Amino acid sequence: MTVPARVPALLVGHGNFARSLLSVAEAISGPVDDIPCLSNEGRSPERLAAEIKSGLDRLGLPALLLVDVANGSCFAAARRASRGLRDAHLLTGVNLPLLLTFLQNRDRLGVEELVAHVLERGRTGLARHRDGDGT
Amino acid sequence: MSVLLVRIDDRLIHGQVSVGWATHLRPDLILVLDDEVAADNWENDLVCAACPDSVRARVMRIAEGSRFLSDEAPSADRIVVLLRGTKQARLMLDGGFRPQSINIGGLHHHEGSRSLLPFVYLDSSEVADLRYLADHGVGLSAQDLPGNRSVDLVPLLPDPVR
Repeated sequence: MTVPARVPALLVGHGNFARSLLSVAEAISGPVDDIPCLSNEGRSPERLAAEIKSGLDRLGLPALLLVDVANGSCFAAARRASRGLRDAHLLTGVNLPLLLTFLQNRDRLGVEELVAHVLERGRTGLARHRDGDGT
Repeated sequence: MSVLLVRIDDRLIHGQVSVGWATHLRPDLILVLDDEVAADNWENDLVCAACPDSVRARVMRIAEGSRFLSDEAPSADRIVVLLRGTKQARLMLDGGFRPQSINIGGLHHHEGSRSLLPFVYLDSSEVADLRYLADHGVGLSAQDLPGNRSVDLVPLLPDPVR
């Protein structure tokens, strides 16, 4: 049986988002040394896009490009950096459930399955829990 | 037609504009004046997708947009104008549209630039562009978000290199 190769990822967000989210995930699931974190802080849009592009070049494709929010400046830079790259999978709205699911499954699943799975967990992680609702 | 805000921001439409300023000013239209975006459908779609649903977005070439804005065409539109840099603002002025003031909302660190404010980095050609605008009677204020302090940039501009 062949085991799929680990799917690489790059984390991009405003301010301390990427670094902070990863550090929380590390506190839960153990150290991670192969997910570069990028911020818009102190970077022009061109420079951020160039750094995302060189990050993707280093990691190789297919790869996940995990971005905090759609239609922000980090998203625009990620879109520009991955323009024309069908195997760069840009996901937005990245949250802790999504990232943890990614870390738990990146060695186990192929990229298409992995993307579907992390999106699903990211979505179901967003929920209301209230006494009396039966949850 | 009323122009509510003319803003220089290297990110064009992004959160500070689509959430911060759009909520505060309630424009009908965000008009991006940019020759590169206007010439590239992919870029055009990316930039317009960042516009909030309640506001229309349109990209025009700078020459075309300057004519449009100086035409005083009768329309009820409340407009926010976005430019990616000082060069584009200068071209807009030369194209015939001179706003009373321009908001500098974000020019981030780049090669050869110096920081005037945490979100305003200028290189020598940008300083020259801004002097040109100021010399033509355009006010220059730096302000990232509506709730934050507005800073008059003109006295902060470095002296021209002799």
